[in-house]
Amino acid sequence: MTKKISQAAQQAWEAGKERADQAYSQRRRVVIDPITRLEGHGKIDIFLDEAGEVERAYFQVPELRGFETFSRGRPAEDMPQITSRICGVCPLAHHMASTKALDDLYKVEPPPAARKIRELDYSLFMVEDHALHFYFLGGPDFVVGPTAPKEQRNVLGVIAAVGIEIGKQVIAMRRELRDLETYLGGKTIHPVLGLPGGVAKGIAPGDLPRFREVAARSVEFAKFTLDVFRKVVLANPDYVRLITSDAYTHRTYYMGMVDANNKVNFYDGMIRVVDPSGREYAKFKPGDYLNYVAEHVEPWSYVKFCYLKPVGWKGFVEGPESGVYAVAPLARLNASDGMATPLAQQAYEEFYAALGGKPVHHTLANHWARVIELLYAAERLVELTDDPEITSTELRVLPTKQPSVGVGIVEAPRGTLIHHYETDDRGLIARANLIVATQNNAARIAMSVDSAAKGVIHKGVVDDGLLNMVEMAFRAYDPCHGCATHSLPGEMPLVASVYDSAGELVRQIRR
Amino acid sequence: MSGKDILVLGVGNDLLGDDAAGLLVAETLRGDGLSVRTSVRSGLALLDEVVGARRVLLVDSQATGGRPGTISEFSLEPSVVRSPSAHYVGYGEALAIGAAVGLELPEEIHVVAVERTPEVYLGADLSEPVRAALPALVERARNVIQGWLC
Repeated sequence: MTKKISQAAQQAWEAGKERADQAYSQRRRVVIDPITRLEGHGKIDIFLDEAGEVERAYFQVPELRGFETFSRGRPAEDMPQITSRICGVCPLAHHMASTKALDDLYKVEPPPAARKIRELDYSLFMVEDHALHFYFLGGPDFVVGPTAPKEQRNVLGVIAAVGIEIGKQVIAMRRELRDLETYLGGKTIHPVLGLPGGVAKGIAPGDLPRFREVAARSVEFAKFTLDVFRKVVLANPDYVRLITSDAYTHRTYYMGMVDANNKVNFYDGMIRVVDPSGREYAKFKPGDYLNYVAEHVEPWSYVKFCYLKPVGWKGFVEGPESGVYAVAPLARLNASDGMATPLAQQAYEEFYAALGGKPVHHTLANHWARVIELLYAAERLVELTDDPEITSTELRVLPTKQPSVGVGIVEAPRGTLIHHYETDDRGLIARANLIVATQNNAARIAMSVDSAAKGVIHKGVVDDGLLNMVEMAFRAYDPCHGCATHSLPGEMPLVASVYDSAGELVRQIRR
Repeated sequence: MSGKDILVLGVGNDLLGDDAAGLLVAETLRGDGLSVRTSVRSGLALLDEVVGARRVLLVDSQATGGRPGTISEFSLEPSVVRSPSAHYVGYGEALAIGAAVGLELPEEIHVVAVERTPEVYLGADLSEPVRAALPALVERARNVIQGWLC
């Protein structure tokens, strides 16, 4: 059985690889080439014309096909454990989307306490992931500076700029959050909290004070982080110019999950889409996603590019006529009418006032939007830990209905995550379709990289600082390569190969 | 040095063929009465696992282009941090970050790693060379621990 699966997966992989390689082979290009931990590469390919100007830049992410085949025949209730191993960075997002797909599959409504415990766990995770991303991954571009020497443009540079105490605080905060996630998740290797119709574990009243302490500290930490952003980024006119520059701006549709009041929600709600002028274009239940989301395939990429089905695929172009849309923090803020908690709502209003009203189309504003969401997730932790129902022992409604189709959607830190399962009447998976945030964002990421490359590379001049500008375009989205292995060394050095118009390699930049 | 100062950490992804090797070896060592952890997380999550341990034996697969099934041993050292994404923070980078913020890192992280096949198969079993190397991998890991306990 496994031999067949691996051959099928391998064949699909080889076919995609060959297709992409053929598309490359005839071109002159600058390649920012990450050596990934997967067979295949995520690449930024920049094709130059005779004058050394950028003709076209492509960003592509390799995907490991075969997940659908791998899932077939497995009990649906195994999926929250299986899918949480897809990504080493956001296992809980997959676990929760999968758990919700099981609720839908068995048509069972979890009791209120179970929903709240899931959302509490999810909020812990969002605080952890957003904090980490801001300080350690987005931070270097802004806190250290986009054109600083490469040896300083990393988290160590961030720590040097903001102080070691903050670095310590980020790590300590994260550890506390992870410990609570482990308390709820049962084990660190992957969570076993979610069950169809509820959760496997509640919160003992004696343990609640610890949750409340961490929640209160998270709010203080988020407020402090917003201050850092204001002081370091907003007070610097160069950074503000960079955020609002044309190279990092795309007028696309935006998608995100909202609650009954159209406020941002990570765990549950309807999916709302707004058009490039900010007007509501669609609002749908998770189960109806296929009426709105379709996937386009390009010969040069392994990735399927999502687009809005009713609008249609018009290529990598922006505007209301093009079905390209975005997910992730900025998209969530654009697709909502505000935040459901008071301090985050103030920050939301400040964000739009500073950037010229809704919607904001600047890719790099994702970093600011992420901090606003960090504050919301922290405030939500306080609300949930103060909820009298959070220690209830009514944790599960047993499923009794016959399964057939289930769709579960959550907002992962990097955007909308869709799990869709179809089973036979015994609950064994017949079909599984997963759409991850990176796929939702793929078209816009490709456009961002293209536009950034065109904005910064002229007359064949490519230096490390310029390449970083191109990288910044995709770093704001933090694309996931999916199903990454954990083999050593586990890091992704970037190699930029610069070819002249005759296709000759003229220099190579490693980072 | 006693057994409680030593942590065995198996890292990998059991959905991805040879990548499961580190997890399998760690599970085997669990029977030796040691402190054993396994993780499918990547990047900075490594720090959460190793902080507080005096010595860590890290068991994993590696992809260096060598012959599949070959076993390597080395000490893990902090490296230059350059990761562009949360999704690609490597072990050496994670250690450098941990050191920069003053975490209490182990005195030594000793790696025992098996070279995996370059192809990644979703859900496949271990490749033949890696499966054949498992007993030797377990033995090498036990030797390291014995050396520490002497």
